[in-house]
Amino acid sequence: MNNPFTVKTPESLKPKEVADLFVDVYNDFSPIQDISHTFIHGARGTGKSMMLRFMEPLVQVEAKTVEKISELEFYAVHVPIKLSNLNFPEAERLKGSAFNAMAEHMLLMHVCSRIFSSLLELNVLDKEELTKLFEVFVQQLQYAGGEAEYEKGESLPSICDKEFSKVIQYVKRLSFSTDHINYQGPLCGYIDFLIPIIKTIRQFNKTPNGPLFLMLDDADNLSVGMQSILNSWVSCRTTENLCLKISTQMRYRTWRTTSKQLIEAPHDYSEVDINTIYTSNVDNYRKRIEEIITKRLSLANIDSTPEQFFPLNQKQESALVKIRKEIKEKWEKGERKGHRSSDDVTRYATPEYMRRLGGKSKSSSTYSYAGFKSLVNLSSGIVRWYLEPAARMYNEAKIDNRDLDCISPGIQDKIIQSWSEQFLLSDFEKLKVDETTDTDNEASSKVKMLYTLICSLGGLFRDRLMDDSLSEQRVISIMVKPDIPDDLNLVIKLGIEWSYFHLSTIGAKEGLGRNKQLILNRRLAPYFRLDPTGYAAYVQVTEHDLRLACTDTAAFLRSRSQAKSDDKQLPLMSE
Amino acid sequence: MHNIKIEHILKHVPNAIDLFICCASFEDRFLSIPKKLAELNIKDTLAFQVKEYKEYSDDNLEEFKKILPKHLINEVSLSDPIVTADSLVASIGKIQFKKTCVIDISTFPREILLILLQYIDTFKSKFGDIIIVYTDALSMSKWLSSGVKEVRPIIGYAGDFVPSKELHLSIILGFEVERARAVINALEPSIISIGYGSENESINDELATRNKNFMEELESFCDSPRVFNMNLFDINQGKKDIENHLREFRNYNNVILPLNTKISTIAIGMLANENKSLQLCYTEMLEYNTADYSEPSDECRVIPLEY
Repeated sequence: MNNPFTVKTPESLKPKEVADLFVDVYNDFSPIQDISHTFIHGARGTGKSMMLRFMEPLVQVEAKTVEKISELEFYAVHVPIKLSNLNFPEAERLKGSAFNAMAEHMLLMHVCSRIFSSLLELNVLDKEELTKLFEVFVQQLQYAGGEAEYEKGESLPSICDKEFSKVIQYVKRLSFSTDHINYQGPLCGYIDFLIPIIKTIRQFNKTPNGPLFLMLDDADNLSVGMQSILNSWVSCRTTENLCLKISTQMRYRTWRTTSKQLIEAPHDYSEVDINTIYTSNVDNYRKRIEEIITKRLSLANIDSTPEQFFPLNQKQESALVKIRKEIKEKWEKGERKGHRSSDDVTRYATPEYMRRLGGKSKSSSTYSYAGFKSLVNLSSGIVRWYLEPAARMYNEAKIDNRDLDCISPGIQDKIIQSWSEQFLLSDFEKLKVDETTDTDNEASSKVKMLYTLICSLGGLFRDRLMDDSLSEQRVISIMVKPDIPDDLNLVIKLGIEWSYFHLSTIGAKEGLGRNKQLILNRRLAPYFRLDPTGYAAYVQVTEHDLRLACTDTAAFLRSRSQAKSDDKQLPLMSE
Repeated sequence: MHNIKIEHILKHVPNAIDLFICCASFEDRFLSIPKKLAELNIKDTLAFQVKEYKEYSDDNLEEFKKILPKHLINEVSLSDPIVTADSLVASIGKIQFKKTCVIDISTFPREILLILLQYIDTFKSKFGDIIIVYTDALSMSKWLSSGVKEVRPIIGYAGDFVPSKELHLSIILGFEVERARAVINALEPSIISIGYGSENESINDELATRNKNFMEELESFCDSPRVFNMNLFDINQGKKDIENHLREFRNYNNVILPLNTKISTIAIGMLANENKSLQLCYTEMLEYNTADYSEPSDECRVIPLEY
């Protein structure tokens, strides 16, 4: 039996596979299906590509949302943007309008190849319509300086691929040349070339009813120059015929067009941030993961719910039940910190259990993160981060058991611990060796500062968990006041890019503006032995604290242990 | 190709060398072969220096200047391949050479080495015999580089992409699993192939464990990564090995990421120069272990380049 949790590249999935695996999330992200240009931001693994692929006509038919393609309200074409396709260092030799013209043409040929491949796959055009499309395309290409004749039998995707290839051959000739090299081929533009073709496609009888949704997936893989070109497209009012649905992995570098104008939301485009939506609405995310896992188990003919398939550690759960009861009884006797007994139970049960593990028995490393809900928390709003460790757990469990109806807590813990360690150590392991190497330059390196910061925060949050005198012990975020210093912004930015942190904002208590909240990725909870369920509270730190956290973990932790009484908290959020 | 002692290298290279090319480095094996070749009659010497790591290679470069006083130093860049390409044109283009060129590839970063190879292929009429020399490392540090800054195609090796084809990524895996992971995440290929050294090539326990863990990780997010063997120390055989493996993937856009020996990197570059549809890619790193990268061996390899 195939592993039901294997993460496959969405573009390699067949339409039926996409339809079978997909869980409807569009209520969470409604602008995606609106008639508008839309940017969709989300870390790798949040499900952007699956969302885009699900909108494709053949997938919609497989999913039975419509019977016929012509009933669709839009015609979605998925265009994955890979670093390898459109980003050539040689192209940097071209400047200004020369670069813009060549880059736009290259992007258009890439896009058209996908549009025409999609049309042929749909197989809804009759011979007359195909001929008309061919004539319009060739005519537009000739207006743009293309060849005098193209063979009538040649397929449209093939012509686009050839024109794309001509540009690459030209770009390659720039490798060692500082002299000007003439380009002989066509140069197509968005408005004068692509829009007439889209209008022609829309006129056909059996193509989808509404505008074409051009779904450019991972547009941050484009060079800055090409992103400007894409922004110029966004600034055009073409949504009646063509809407751009652009996904990014939070690394899009410019919002300016080729003429340096800014594109802005909501005037030019709508925007969706998947990370923020899923990290701020935990219940919704948990529900989505439950739906995804339920579907995958069903497709694999495994008759278990997600909670049954990923059971929690019963011994630990029994101990927690006992502790919850103790806390409730204490609250009723007047030993209370929260307004309600349930507040105290939620806040203190797991920390108390962790403290008892770390006490006489010295078994703090045996805290179990097993269980469906725990794994959802650890995945930090990223679907892939549930599926990848689940796939490894499945492989491990399968070794001993052919008829698998659940994955034991022991295997869950083994894999999740390794997965958490790997997230940090595989990138930073070498710096452990570095700690014994005394060179000035090491201290200043961004990578080392990031590693030190992560260890400092992990240590801080662990210390708080072990301190029963604190009113809020389950903390995984900090707020820096007054603000993150400029020189440390680069370290924080790297940490966000590499997904070690998530940046959010909190309204300032003084009523002016918002402060930045840096949230540690819950995937690191097993490594630092933290409770991943804490969401509400944060620790306030100064700029000095942050700088210390980036350079000296031990000193930072000593400093913080003096300052615990200054820590603030937010009201408890419901879970 | 067998190892020879560096002290015997003079028996294996011509007595008179028109052009000697090398790349300055924080690694001490940058100096190993030049110290011996200095006994020969070298008409022109060209040393490249990576500008981003200038301060770490300056000491070795000063030593080099004393060993080979008649030299030209030119800057290349790990961050800007155009700077590297222009530097090759400006420096090698100036030198009049006819017969024999020796290139010490020991401490060239892979991208710069491949750009040099591309330059040779583009201007092959300017070159006569080319001999590659390479100092083995006695040991390599546990970490070599850290933090992937950028993934990009290598200048001159753009390949011949067909938008309608799927992507096949071949990684010739070495120590640096982080780089492999970054390229897989960046390119999201439909199929991944992992190339390892041939069975008779030594592999240490640590590397074996790292690679095993990486394969397990790969299997959690891609169906059946392919595995193949490649000779890492024989250019011709290495070229054949990877060419044979790629036969199955003719209908894919093929990208190769070389992460193992410099010799295997040259084999891949030679193949890509013959088969222009192949793209080669590179990962620019944030940091290198400049303090403790490697320890030089007293052995080297001498390989005529057939092009």
